[in-house]
Amino acid sequence: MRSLILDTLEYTYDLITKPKVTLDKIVQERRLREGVLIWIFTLILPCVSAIVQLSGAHIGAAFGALLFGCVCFILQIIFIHGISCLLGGSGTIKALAAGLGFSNIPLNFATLAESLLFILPSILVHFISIASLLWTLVLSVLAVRSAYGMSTARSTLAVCMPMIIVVCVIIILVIWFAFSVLTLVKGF
Amino acid sequence: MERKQKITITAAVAAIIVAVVCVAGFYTKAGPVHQLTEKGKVAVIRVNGPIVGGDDDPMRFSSSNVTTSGSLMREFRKARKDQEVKAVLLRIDSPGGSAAATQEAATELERLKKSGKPVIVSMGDTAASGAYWLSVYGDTVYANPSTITGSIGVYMSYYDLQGLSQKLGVSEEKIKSGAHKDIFSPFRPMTEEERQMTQTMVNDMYDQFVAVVAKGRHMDEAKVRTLADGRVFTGAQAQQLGLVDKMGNYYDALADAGKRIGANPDNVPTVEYDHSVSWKQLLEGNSSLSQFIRSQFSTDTAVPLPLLLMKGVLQR
Repeated sequence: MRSLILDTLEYTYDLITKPKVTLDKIVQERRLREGVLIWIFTLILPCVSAIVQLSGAHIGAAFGALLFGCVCFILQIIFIHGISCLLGGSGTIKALAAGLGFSNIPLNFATLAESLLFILPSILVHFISIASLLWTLVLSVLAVRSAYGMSTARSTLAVCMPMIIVVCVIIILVIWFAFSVLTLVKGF
Repeated sequence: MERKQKITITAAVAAIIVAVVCVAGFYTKAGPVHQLTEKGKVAVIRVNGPIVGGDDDPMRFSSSNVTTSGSLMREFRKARKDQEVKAVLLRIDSPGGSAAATQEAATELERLKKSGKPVIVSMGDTAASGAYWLSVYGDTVYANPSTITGSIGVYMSYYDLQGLSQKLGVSEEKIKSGAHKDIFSPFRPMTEEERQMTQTMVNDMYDQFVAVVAKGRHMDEAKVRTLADGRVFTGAQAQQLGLVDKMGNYYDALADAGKRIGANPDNVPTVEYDHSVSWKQLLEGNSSLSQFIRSQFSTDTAVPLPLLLMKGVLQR
C-alpha cells in the first residue's frame, strides 16, 4: 500500500510536469491501481467539501454520490473503449482506465477554487473550473491516444462521443416531454 | 528531480488542497467571515395578490397569484438569519386576505424587527386590509399618491341559498352534534344567536387589527377606530391621516433601505429568496433549466451549478 501511494504521488508530479511522456508510461505499464487511487481522491474531495459545508448532509448520501461516480466512470471507460475500437484503435480497457484515472487530476483544482467561492470572485472560480475541465479533456485525449495508438482527432472524437450522445438523448427527451405536456393544453 | 523530492512536493500540495477545502467549508458557515467578506444587502420580500394560509406547492404548474403565509414566514425567517442582510424591503401589492394568515406572517415579521434589522415598506398598486396589517410593521412606509390602502376592518360572509335550493327541489338533511356546528351552512338562514356569535368573532379580530395599527403607527386606538370603518384611502390621504409616512415608489423605498445599510442609494445590493420557477415558465421558455434547478434549492446564482447539484444529491 505504501509503495502504491508513493508511486501514485510520483506519477502525479510527472503528469503535471511532463504529461505526454508520463501518460505514455502509465498506459504502457498499465498503472491501473494508481489511476483508480487518483480517481477515488478526485471523487472524494468534492464530497468532503459538500459534507463540511452542509449542516444537514448525510454520510450515506456521500456514499451514494461515490457509487454514482463509480458507475459513471465505468460506463465512460466502456463507451470510450468501444468507440475507440470502432474507430480503428487497438488497446486494452486496463490501459485506458489507468490513463483516464490520472487525467482527472486537474479537477481537484476546480474543487479547490469552488470551495473558495466565498472569497474569490465568481468569474475567477468559473475560469479555473473551465480551465481544469479543458485540461482534463486534453489529458483524456492523450490517454486514449497512448492506449489505442490513434491520431489526436480520432482520440478526441472517442473522448467526446459519450458526452455528445448523452446531450443528444437529453435534448430529445426534453423535446418529447415538452410536446407531450403541451398537447394537453387547449389550442396547441 | 529525485523521486523523493517529487513525492514530497506532491504529497504537500495534496495535503494543502485537502486542508484548504475542509477549512474553507467550515468558514463558509462562519459568521465573522461573512461579516468581513460580504457587504450588507437588502432583502426584498414581495407580497403579491391575496394573502392566504398554507404553503406554496413546489411542483405547481403555473406561477402563483397569491401569497401564502408559509412562504412569507419562510422568507422573513431567512432574512432574519441571513447575516448578509442588514435591512428588509417589504414590497406589497395585495388587497389583503385571511386574518390568521396575516397574523402568522406578522409574528415572524415582528421577530425580524426585534433582531435589529430595519423594515421599509413599499406599497404598490394596493395595500389594503391584511396587507395594511403587515405594512404597519414597517419602520418607514412608502406609498404612491394613488395607492389604494386602508380598509382597516374585518368581515365574514356566507351565502344563504335556501331560496334557490327550494326552487331546485334540493334540501339538506343534517345530523349534527351541536346546534351551531353548521353555523355557515348555505342551506339555512343564520339564527340571531349565530349572528351575534359571528359578530363577536368579527369584533375580536377587528380589535386585534386596531391594536396592531395603533401600535405600529404610534397612534391612539381611539383615533385609529375613527379611521377603521373599513373605508379605503389613497396614498396621499393616508399620509395626511398618519397611516403612511412618505410618498415614493419602489426605488425610493429601496434607496431609503440602502442608506440605512451604508450602501450607494443608486446601487443597493439586494437579495430575494423567492426564486420559484414553475414548470409552465420552464416549458414556455421564460426560464432557463439552470434557474429552474436553482429555484428548487432556493439559492442565489453565485454557487456553480455542478457544486449545487452535488450538494443537492448529498442533502437529499
